[in-house]
Amino acid sequence: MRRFALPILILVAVLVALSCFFVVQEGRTALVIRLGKIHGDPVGPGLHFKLPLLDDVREFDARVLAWDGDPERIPVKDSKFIYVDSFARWRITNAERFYNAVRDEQGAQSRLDDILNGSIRDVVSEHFLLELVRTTDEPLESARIGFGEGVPVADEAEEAPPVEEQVQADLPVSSEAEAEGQRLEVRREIFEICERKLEELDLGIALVDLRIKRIDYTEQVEKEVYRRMVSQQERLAERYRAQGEGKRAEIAGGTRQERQRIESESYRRAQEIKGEGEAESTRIYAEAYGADENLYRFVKSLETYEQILDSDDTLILSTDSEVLRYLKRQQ
Amino acid sequence: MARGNGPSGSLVEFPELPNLPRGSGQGLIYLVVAILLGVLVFESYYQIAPYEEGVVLRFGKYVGTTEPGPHLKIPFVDDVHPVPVQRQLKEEFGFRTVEAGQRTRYAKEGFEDESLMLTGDPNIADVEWVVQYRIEDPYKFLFEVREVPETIRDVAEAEMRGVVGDLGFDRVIKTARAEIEEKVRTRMQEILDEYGAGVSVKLVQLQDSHPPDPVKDSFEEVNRALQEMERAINEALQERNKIIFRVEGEAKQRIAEAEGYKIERINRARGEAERFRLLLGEYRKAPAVTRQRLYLESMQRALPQTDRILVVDEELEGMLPLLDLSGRVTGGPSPPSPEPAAEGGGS
Repeated sequence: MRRFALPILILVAVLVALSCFFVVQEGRTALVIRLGKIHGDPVGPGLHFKLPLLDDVREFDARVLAWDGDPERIPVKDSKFIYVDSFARWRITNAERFYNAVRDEQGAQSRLDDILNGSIRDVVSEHFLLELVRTTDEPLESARIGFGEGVPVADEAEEAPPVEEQVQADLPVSSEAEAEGQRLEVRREIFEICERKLEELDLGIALVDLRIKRIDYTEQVEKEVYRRMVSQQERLAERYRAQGEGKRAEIAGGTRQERQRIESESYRRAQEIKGEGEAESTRIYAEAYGADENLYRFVKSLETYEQILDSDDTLILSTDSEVLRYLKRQQ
Repeated sequence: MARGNGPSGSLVEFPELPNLPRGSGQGLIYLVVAILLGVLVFESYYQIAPYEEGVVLRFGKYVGTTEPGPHLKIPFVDDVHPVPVQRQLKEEFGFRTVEAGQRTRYAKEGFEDESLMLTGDPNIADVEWVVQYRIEDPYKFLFEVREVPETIRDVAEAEMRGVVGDLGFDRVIKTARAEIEEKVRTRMQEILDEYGAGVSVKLVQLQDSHPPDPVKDSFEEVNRALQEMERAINEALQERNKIIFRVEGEAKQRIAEAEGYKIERINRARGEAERFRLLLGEYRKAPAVTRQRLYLESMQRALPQTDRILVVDEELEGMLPLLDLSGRVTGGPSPPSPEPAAEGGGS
C-alpha cells in the first residue's frame, strides 16, 4: 500500500487544486455564490478562482436569447379574430438581478410569456387588421388579380371599373380597409411597452427585439377570404370573357365600317374619274363640233337613223321625203 | 449547425509498448504513462478544414481564430470550435428539400404555416422562399447570439410577411418578386446586425409564389378566360383582315375600271372629234353635194335594215286605216303573229 500513497496524495492534491478554479466559457457569465450569498461581481469568460466546497458557481448565457410566443388568438378592432405569432430576442443584462428575480432561463421565459403576450394582445387589439399587415399607406399599385401582361385590352381595362374598388366593396373588413399601414409603429409600441415593463420589474433582462412573425386569419375568416377571392376571380373571368366578346363585336363593327368606307370611297373615286373622262370628252366634242354645229347635227342625225332602224321597225316614208322624192317625179 | 465538437480527430496511434514483465507494478505505471502521453499528443493537435475557421478559447476565453490546416494547442486548456465560414448555408421556408440531386425532391406538405401569408388587399398568398447566408464573424456567430439559424428563420418570416403585407396580391404573385427579395434581404441584414449575429445574408430567393390551393382553380379559370378573350380578339382580327383585304382589292378594281372608262371616253372623243374635223375640212369645200351624199349614203345603209317600208303619198291624210292593216304596229310584246301577206306596198 505504501507505494500507492504518493500517487494517491498527488491525485487528491490535483483534485483540490482543480476545484479551486472554474472556467467560464465565452458567451457566458457566472456568479459566485458563497454560502448562499452572492459573492462579488459576475465574472466573464476565463479562468477564475473559488473556494472549494464553500462556493457555488452559477453560469448564465450572456448571448442574445430567443423567446418564441405561441400563436395567440386576438380580436382586432374590426371585430374578428386573428392569430398573432411573435418572437422576441432578449439578453441577461444583470446576472445578479436575474438570479434573484427569476433564478434561471426557464423562470425568465415564463415571466416573458406573461409580459410579452399580454402587451402584444393589448396593442394588437387596438388596431385594425390592415394597420397590422401593412407598413405604409401607399396605394396597392395593382389589385387587378390575375391580369395577364401583354394582352391588348389595356384601354378597356381603364374603362371598366377598377377591380380594386370591387375588392374594397367586398371586404369583410368594411370601411376600415383604408386604414393606414402601421406595422412599424405597432411593433415599436409593443416593444417600448415591454421594454418599460421589464425595466420596472427589474428582472435583469433587456429586450433586444420583439416582432410579430405571423398574422393569420382564423379558420372562419380564412374561409371567408378564400370565398371572396374565388368570387373575385370568377367575376374577373366573366369580365374577360365579356371583354373578349365585346372586343370581337367591336372589331367586327370596325370591319364593317372599314369595308363601307373603302367601298364608298372607291365608288366616289370611280365616279369622279368617270366624270373627269366625261368632262374631258365633252370638252373635246364641244371644241370639235362647235366648229360647225349644223354639220354635226346633220351627221349625227344620220348616224342615229342608221342605229335606230332595225328589222322590227316599220318605216313609213312620205313621197315627200328626201330619199323618195325622185320616186314621184324626177325633178 | 456546427458548434464546436472538438478537433476532427483521426485515430491516434499509440506508441508501441515495450515487452513488459507480466504483472509487474512498474509495467502498469508505464502503461498509464504511455496512455497519458498518447492522450496528450492527441489533445495538442487539431485540424481545420478548408471551408472552416477555428475559434480558439483558452480557459474559456477567446484568444484567436485559426486558418485552415493543422494546428497545435495547449491540451486541456485550449478549446477549438471550427466554424464553416466558407459554406453557403441556407434555410428553406414553405418547403424542405428532401433529397438534393439532379432531380431534387421537395416536401411541400405541412409547411403551409410558413408559406401562407396576408397581402395588403387583404388576400392570402402562398409564398415559398429560400434564404442563403454565410458566417462572416465566427466569434459573433458563436458567442453573441444563441441559435443563429433559428434567429434567421424568425427574422426572415417576420420580414417577408412585412414586405408582402404591404403589397397587393397581384404584385406579390407576379411583378414585385425582385423588389420583395431585395427588401427582405436588406431588412434581415439590418436586424441581424443589430443582434450581432455575425452572419451576412447573401440571398433571399422567392421560389414559388402562387394563390393558395383552395383558390387555385379560380385563378386558372381566369387564365383560361384571358386566353378565350385573346382568341376571340384574334379571330375577329383574322376575319377583319380577310374582309378588308378583299374589299380593298375590289375597290382598286373599281377605280381601275373607272380609269379605263375615262380613257376610253377621252379617246373616243378625240377620235370622233378628229374624224369630224377632217370631214368638216372637206365638207367646207363643197357643202351642198357633200351633205346630199352623206344623207343618201346613210339612208342607203339604214333603210334595208327595216322589214317593211310603207310609202305614202304626201297628199294622203290620216294614217290610221293604213295602220290597221298591220298586225305588228300595235303588237307590243304579243307573241309573233302570223306573217301578214301585205308585204310592203312596194320597195
